Amino acid sequence: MQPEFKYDHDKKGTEKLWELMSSYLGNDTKSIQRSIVNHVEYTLARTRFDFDNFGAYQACSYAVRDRLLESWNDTQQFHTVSILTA
Amino acid sequence: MQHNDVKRVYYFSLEFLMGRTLQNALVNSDLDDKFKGALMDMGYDLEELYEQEADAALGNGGLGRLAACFLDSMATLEIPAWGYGIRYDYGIFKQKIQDGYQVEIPDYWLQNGNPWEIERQDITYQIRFYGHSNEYQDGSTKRANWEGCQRVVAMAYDTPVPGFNTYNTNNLRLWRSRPTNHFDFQKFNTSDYHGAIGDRQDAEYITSVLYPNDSTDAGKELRLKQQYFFCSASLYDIIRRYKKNHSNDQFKQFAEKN
Repeated sequence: MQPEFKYDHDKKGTEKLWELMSSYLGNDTKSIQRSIVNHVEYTLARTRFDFDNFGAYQACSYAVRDRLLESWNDTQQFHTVSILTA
Repeated sequence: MQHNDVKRVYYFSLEFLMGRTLQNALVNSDLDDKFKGALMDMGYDLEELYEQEADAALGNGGLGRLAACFLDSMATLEIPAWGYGIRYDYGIFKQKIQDGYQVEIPDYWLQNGNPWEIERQDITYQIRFYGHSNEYQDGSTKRANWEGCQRVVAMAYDTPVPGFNTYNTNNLRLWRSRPTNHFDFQKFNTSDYHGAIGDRQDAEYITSVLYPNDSTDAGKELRLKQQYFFCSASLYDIIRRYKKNHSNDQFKQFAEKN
């Protein structure tokens, strides 16, 4: 379970954005494989049945980077803005 | 809105010997076994993928490794810290031994791209070199303009720095020198093609190479420009961040937060 930061106190027209960006990437086997294969197809524009170790490294790195960006963004927000509790 | 408004540490260094990122990121976030299993299921060996990554050798040795260790440690200790440095196109040379002597081969580490960096095309600052100051009277106040300078754009490249066994992820921000939008069309139209792009190339040289040869005056000057370039861009960035969340009359507290 990853932490979720709720700092959208005023809800000034950003509710939709928060809703869309409030979920985290899963870390179960299926989700990880889905992330990697998506990057093979949509980031690298290679077919999922034809990628070598280097392509696999790239796709795997982007999948890990996506997860780092989630914690990166939360960390930077947390350092700037506090978590608002009811 | 309430602000946590933490004090941040900024670690300035001309070198960050970060090394490879994939294994470090997976181990730190405790995802190595999960990725290993997911990849094995697809017919790939994670250990072999680790070997595909180019070393981010943006350092010479001890000083650069120490800077990287500080970044890793501060992320792990959950200290709000940012690293600031230069995104060199060429890192430390690759060493070859030929007939018993060292031969240096250029290390173009970005040849196969770098999935770990995030290019921030929206985070740029104009850095100025040379020129002169021109004093003028503004009512009763004496002011000065900086004129006749060479302008270079600093563009930010971010690399996330995950701590070990924590959700905390800090940032390493490296600057790349880019030409300004200015292009000497006059020179181009009079067929002086090299002259037309000369200024643009001069701008890009600044962050091309880690430790350019400083046996000549031009080399010494380039090193000085590298130092000034990344310090200036980083200070712009730190002050901009502070101003975003503080009013102008809060500048007396600037030192408490940075």
